[in-house]
Amino acid sequence: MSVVKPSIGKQSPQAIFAAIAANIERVIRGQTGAVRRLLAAFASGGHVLLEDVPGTGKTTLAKALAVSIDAAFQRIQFTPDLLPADILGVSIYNQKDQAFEFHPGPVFTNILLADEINRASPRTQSALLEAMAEGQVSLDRVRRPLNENFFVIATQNPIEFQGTYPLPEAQMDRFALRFSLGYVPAEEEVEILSDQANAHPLQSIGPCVALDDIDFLKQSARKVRISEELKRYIVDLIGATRSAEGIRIGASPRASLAFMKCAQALALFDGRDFVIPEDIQEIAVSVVAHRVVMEPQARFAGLSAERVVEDALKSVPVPV
Amino acid sequence: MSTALKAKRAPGQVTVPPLGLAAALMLWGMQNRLWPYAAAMAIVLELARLSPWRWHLSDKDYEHIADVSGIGFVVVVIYVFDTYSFQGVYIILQWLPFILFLVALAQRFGTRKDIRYSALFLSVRRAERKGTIEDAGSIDFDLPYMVVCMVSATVGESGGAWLFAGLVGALAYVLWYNRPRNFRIVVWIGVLAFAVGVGYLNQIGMLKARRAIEPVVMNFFRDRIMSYRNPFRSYTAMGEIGRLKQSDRIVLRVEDLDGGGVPTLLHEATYRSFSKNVWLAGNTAFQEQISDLEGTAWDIEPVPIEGSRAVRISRSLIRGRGMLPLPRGTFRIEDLPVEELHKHQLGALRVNRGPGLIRYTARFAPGRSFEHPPGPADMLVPTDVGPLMSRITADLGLHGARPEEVLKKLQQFFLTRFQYSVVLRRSGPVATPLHDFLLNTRSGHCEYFASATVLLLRSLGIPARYATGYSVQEYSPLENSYIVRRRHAHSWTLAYINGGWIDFDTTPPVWGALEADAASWWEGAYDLLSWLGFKFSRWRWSSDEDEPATNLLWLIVPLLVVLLWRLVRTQRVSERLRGERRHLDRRVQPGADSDLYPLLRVLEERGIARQPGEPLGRWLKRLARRDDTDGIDEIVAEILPVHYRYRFDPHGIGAEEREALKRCVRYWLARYPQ
Repeated sequence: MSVVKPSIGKQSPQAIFAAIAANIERVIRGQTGAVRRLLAAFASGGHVLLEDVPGTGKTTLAKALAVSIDAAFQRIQFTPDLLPADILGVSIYNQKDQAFEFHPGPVFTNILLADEINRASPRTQSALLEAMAEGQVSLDRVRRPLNENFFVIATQNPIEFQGTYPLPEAQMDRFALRFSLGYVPAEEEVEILSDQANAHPLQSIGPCVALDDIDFLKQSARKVRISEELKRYIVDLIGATRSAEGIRIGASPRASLAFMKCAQALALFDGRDFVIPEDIQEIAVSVVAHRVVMEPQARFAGLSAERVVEDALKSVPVPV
Repeated sequence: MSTALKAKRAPGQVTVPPLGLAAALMLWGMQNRLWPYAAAMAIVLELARLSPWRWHLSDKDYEHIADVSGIGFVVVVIYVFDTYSFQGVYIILQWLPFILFLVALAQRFGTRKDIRYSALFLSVRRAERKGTIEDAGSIDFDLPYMVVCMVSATVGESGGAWLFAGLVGALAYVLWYNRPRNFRIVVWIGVLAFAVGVGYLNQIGMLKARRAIEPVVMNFFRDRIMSYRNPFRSYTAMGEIGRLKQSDRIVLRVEDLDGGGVPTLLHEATYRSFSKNVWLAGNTAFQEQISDLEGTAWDIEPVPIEGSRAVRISRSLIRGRGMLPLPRGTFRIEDLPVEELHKHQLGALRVNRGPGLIRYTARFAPGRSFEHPPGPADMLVPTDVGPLMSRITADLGLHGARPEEVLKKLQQFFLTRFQYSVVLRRSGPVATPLHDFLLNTRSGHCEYFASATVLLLRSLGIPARYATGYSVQEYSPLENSYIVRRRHAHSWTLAYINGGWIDFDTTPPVWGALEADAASWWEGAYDLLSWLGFKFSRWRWSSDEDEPATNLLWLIVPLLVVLLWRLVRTQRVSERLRGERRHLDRRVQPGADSDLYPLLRVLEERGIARQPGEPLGRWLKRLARRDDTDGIDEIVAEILPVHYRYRFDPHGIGAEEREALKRCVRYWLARYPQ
C-alpha cells in the first residue's frame, strides 16, 4: 500500500522513519515504542518530555537521534543556578568594535537536550519554554528566530523532590508528548551489556538521513488525511478527561492539536496516508496525561492522570 | 453495534445457566406464596438474555444501586424486628430476593458483566479509594442471587417434599450446565444421586431434631421473659406511699358490635392467694388452645350460646405477645391472627407470636362465667389479716346473711365509709396496709378495695378471687369508640355466688372521674396522635397478616424513586453528550455500510465481546488468540486495511476494491457457520 509517492531521489517517509528508527535502535535497545513516539513528536514539530528514573537511556536516546539525522545537537544540564542567559545567549560589549556582540546560547541548535529541567529555577525554565512555544528568542529588543527543526527533549526525574522546581501546568502543556522509557526486559539488558563491552555504540553510528529528508517527513505528516469522525473522536477523548472525576483541569485544545498531529505521524510511519483509531489510541496517554491537572484528593486516593486517560479510552466509543 | 450476548466462561467459574435464575425465583415465589412478584422478577431478569438493550452504568451508579439495596435491607431489618421480634429473621430471609433484586437487575442490564466488590462492600470501596487495594475484583452476581433465592425459598411454609425436589432440580440444572466435561455422564449422575440421598436423610434428621428441641427451648425462654401482665403474680402498690403514677396512654379500644353497649370490665387475669401484698395465681399452668383452620378463630368454651354479645377490642402487642382483655363470659374469639393462644386455668388468655396490632372480636355470654369452680385456695384468708376480717364482718353483722345480702352490704360499706384516692398514705405503725386501709385511712385505690373485699368474702365463707383488667368508662367521640387508658387498669373481686362467678367491684365509682381530673393537660393532643398512630397501625396490619410484604413494598417506593431519578439524570447527561454529537452523526458516516460488519457480528457471537473503547484491530487480535477461531490473522491482514480505508480515509476506496472487500467477507462468512 503505497502512500506518498516518493519523489525522485528521495526516500518514502516510511523509509525515512524506518532508517532513523533502526539507527537509534542500534544504540537504544528494547525501546521500539519510545522511539516511535519520539519520532512522532519530532515529525509533528512538537517537543518531548522524558520522565524517568536515572540511567534508563534518556540522554542516549536524544544523542542517538541527533547523530542519526546529522543535526546540530546541544545539551544543557539544568542546575538551580542556571540563568536564562546560559540558555538563550548573551550580548557582550566588544571593545574593538565598540558594539554589543551577541553570543548565541545553546538554544540555537536543532536538537536540544534539556537535562533535568526541573532542577532550574522557574525563571530559567520559562526562558526555554518561551523559545519552545514561539520558535524565537527576544533578546535586547531583537527577535532572533530559532532553527527550523528546533526540537527539545527535556528530561526530568520524577522521584526527587529536594531542590527541584516542578514544571508549572501551563508549561507542561508546551510539550507535545510526555513518556518514560522504563526498564527493558532482562534479555535486552544483557544485550546492552554486551554491546558496551568495547565501546559505547553511540560512537559507531552515523547520520543516516539528511536534514532535507526530515523536512520532507514533516511535510508528509501534515498531509496525512484524517476523517471528521476521527477528529471528533479525538475531541471526545479530550472532552472525557475534562469531565472525568477527580480532575481539576482537563486537557486543552492545544492537546487536541498535538494529538492529531502525532496520530498523523504514526499513520505515516505505518505507511498509511490516513489515520485510523489505533493511531489515536496508541499515542493518547503520552499526549494527554501530562496536561491533566488532578484534584489533590484524587491524587492521594491513588488515581493517576494516566488512569484517567486510559479510562477515557475505554469508555468513549471508538469508531469501527 | 450490539455487544455480545454471551460471555466466555472461565474455567472453574460456575455460571448460572439460562432460566436458572427464573427457576430459583419461581421456587421462592411458590414456597412463599409470592409467585406473582417472583414471576415478574424472573421475566424481567431473563429478558436481559434476549434483549441487547443495556444501561450504561458507571461504577458510581453500581455503588448507588448497591447502597439503595443496603438501605432497603436496613429499613426492612428495623421494620421487621420492630414488629416481629426475633421471629423476623425468617421474614428477612423471605424478603431477601426483593432486597437484592436491584443489584441482580443492575448486573443483568448494565454494561458490565459483573458487580465490583467495591460496589457491594463499603470497606472494599474505602480501601480502593485509599489505595490499599488496587482492584478488589468483581463477582458474577447471578450465582449468589440464585443461592439467596433458594435459601429464601426454604423459609416458606408450603410443602417440604416439593421444596426439596425443587431445590434439587434447580441445583442439578446449574451443576449440569457447569459439569466437568472430562467425566462420563454416568459418573456425574451417580455423584449427584449420592449427594441428593445424603442431603435428604440429613434433612429428615434435622427436622426431627428441630421438632424435639424447639418446644423445650421456646418454653424455657417464654417462662423467663415476661413483658406483659404476669398471669401468675400481681404485685400491688398497697403499703407504698406517695402518689400512684398514672398514665394517659391509650392501651385498648373497644367497639360495640351489636348495639348492646360495652361491658364495663375487661378481665385480664385472676389470682387466688394473697400474701404480703402480692396476689398469686397459685400452682396452675397454661394450656394451649387450638384454633380453627384459618388460624384466626378460637373457641375458648365449646358452647355456642343463645343471646350472646360481641365486642371488638384492639390492642397492640409488644413483641407479638400479651394478655387478652376480655369480657366475662367470653366463649369465642374471632379475627385473632396469632400463632399461639394459651388459657390459664383461672381464665386468663395469653397470646404468642402475633402481629404488632390485634383487633379481635370477643363473643361473650353476659352473666355467664366459664372459670373453674372454687377450690380450697379460694377460701384462704392469711392469718395476719384473718382476725381483722372477722372483726369487720362481725361489726357489719354479715355472719349468716345470704350471699346477695352480703354483697349489697359490702358495696354499701365501701361506698359510704371509704374514699377513693390515688395518694397513698400511711397513718402510723400498723400490722398490714390492709389494717391501715380498713381501720384508719379509709382511703385508697382499687387494689385496696378489691383485696379487702376478697378477704372479707372469704372470711364469710364465700369463695372469692382477685381479678385484674381494665375498666371501660371513656367514650371517645373522635374515634367513635370506647377507649381504655393505662390508668383505667383496674382490679376487682370475683365472687362465687349461686354456682357461678360474678364480678363484684367495690371501688367507689367516682374513681374514674377522680383520675380523669388528674389527667395531664395535653391529653387531648396525645389522644389525637394516638388515634392517628392507631389508624396507621391498622392500615399497616390491615391487608392481611399473611402478606405484610405488600405493605412494605410501599416503603420501598420512595427509595426506588430516588434511584430512578439518579439513573434518569445520568441518562440525561449522556443524552446531552449524545445530542452534541448528533449533529455530526446525523450525516451518515462514510463507510458505515462497510461489508465487514456482518462478519464482525458473526465473530462477536462466537464469544468475545468488543469493549466500547476497543478498536477493531486490537479486538480481532484478541480473538485470534482463541483456538477455536482460525483465520482471524488473515482477516486482519487482508480485509481490515481495506475496511479502514473505506471508513477512515476521506478519499475512500474505488468500486473495484469495494467489490473485493465484499467477496472476501463472503468467503469468510461461509467459513464461519452461524
